[in-house]
Amino acid sequence: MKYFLLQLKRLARAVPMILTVSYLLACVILMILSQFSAAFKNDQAAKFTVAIVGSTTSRMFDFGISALTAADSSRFSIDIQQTDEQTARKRLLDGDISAYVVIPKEFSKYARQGKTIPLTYCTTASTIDISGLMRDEITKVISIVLKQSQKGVFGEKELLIGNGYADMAELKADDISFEYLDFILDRDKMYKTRITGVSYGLDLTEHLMVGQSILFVFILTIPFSCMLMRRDNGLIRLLSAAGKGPLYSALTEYAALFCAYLCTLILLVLAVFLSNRFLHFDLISEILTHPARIALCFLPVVAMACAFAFAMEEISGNILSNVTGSFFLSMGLCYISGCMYPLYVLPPILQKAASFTPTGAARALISLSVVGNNSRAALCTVAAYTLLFLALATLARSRKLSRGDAV
Amino acid sequence: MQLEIRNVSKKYGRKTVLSNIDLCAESGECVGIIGVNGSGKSTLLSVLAGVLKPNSGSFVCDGIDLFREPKARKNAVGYVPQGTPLFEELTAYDNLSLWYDKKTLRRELDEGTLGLLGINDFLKKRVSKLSGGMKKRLCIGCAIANRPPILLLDEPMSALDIVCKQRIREYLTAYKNAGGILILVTHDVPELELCDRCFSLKSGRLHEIHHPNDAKSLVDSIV
Repeated sequence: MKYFLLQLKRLARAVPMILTVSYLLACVILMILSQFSAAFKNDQAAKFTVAIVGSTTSRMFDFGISALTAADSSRFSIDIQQTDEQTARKRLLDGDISAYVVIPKEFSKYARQGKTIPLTYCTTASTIDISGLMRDEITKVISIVLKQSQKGVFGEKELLIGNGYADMAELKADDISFEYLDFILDRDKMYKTRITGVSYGLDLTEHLMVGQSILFVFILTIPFSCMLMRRDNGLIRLLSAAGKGPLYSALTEYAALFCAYLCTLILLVLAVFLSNRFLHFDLISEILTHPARIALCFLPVVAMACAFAFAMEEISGNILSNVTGSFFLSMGLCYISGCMYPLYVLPPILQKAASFTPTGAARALISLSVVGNNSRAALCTVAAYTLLFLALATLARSRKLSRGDAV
Repeated sequence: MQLEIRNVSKKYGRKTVLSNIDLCAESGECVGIIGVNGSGKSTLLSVLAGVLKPNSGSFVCDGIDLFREPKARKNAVGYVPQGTPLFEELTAYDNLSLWYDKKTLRRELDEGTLGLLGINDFLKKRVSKLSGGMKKRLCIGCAIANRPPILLLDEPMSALDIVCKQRIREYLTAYKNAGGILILVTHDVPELELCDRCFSLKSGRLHEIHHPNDAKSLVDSIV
């Protein structure tokens, strides 16, 4: 107990500094994620203005354009404006429009013959973000719908003329076009959208929030583990001679690390909640739908992160290798377990492997607690990793003693 | 009290570091062990202190094999390892409180061994601010918390100034005179003056040095 209290006393010296830095860091992360969340929501309900330039004299374009204006209205709306290319380019650069589509001169003529010539869609390089990707996607949709509607309508008209209905071809083509238009306009009634989220039922912002929290929990253990580092193994040897072997000293130090770290995290969370009154991180209230459950699920994750940091501290010989090793390993684990981005961007084999990594299991545990579920498998994996890291730390300590190093 | 070390061997993998070490000592005796770096001096003390397990042998004190009786060894043997077995960030008092209960610590500081070691002078100072000599005295203070009759010291006076060395030497002489057994591992020839018998550790075996003051024979015996 005395050894535990003394270790705690050592670690407590670092708490004010670590708390201050981590508080500032947490506020910055929350601000960024709140901004991201707001932008993401705006994107989802955004109205995208797209210009069409070039050979748009054919009245048949009106059908396609009308269809596009109303298409996918359940997810986003598109405002299409016809203009010349120079104006469109200026407006694109000014940010007035999201993109513009250039219709080639011969487009209608070739479409009538059932041939396809490519449309050019233009967007800015600055739109390489989520909203940008959506705009690009919309512009592609425009190209496809315009082409297909044009080809379809002219094809129908040709068919009528070829079958001896030249006098009524114009009228019937209009009827068919309107039917086609109705079909497109009703498209959103043909399916139901069920949002399953990026992972475990969380949307992208929630997923990123959970991922960043896990990374934060892992990274924040590094200064604490550095505080535990010893100049030499003298104390461990003395304790060992006093009948308190490597297992005792390792577990006691780990317990002190866990307690000091947990207290810091609790203080940090309290500080963030207090700041929330002034800074208004909407994200917190959105995510903390089950605060008690989330807090309980964080306990094993914190225990695992401490065990990881402790094992790294024991394995590495000095502060520099401890800091660099822990940092890069934590980052690497967070990357391959999908804490930094949606998991589906990884190759399938890595997606499967991700859930077996320490951070992957932690992500599963926390994510499920956010939506109000439990995962015994994830909890068992986290517990297994905690024991593994502790065993590694004890083994490393025993080896240091049994190698017979003088110091 | 009599101490008998018999056939103590220690191997690291295939490498034999200690080979059938035999050593006897009686109350009030100081045994010095010298040897070149890596000869196994610290390993011998680690084995005797219980930090390392021997491959064979016995360490008998008053009829009790301390290798087989960890509890008895804990009370009988005090160990001052090489390095700094202290919490650098905490005060000398904090460090001592790990090994002593509050009452005993107060008593030892006021009128006991810790007072003799002069620890009161820097009791409230942080260890990282202490000099090498102060740290060493504090280490000895920690090692003798159980008032052990046998004290193992691994280079206790290395890199200390003359004043510190003298202070530690005085304490060790007092310990010896009080009936304690000292096993002292050292590199410094002057420290051997404290010893009643000297041994060199060479190729895993102990060889007695009859004239430790003769530099040539000393070098011949350890190389």
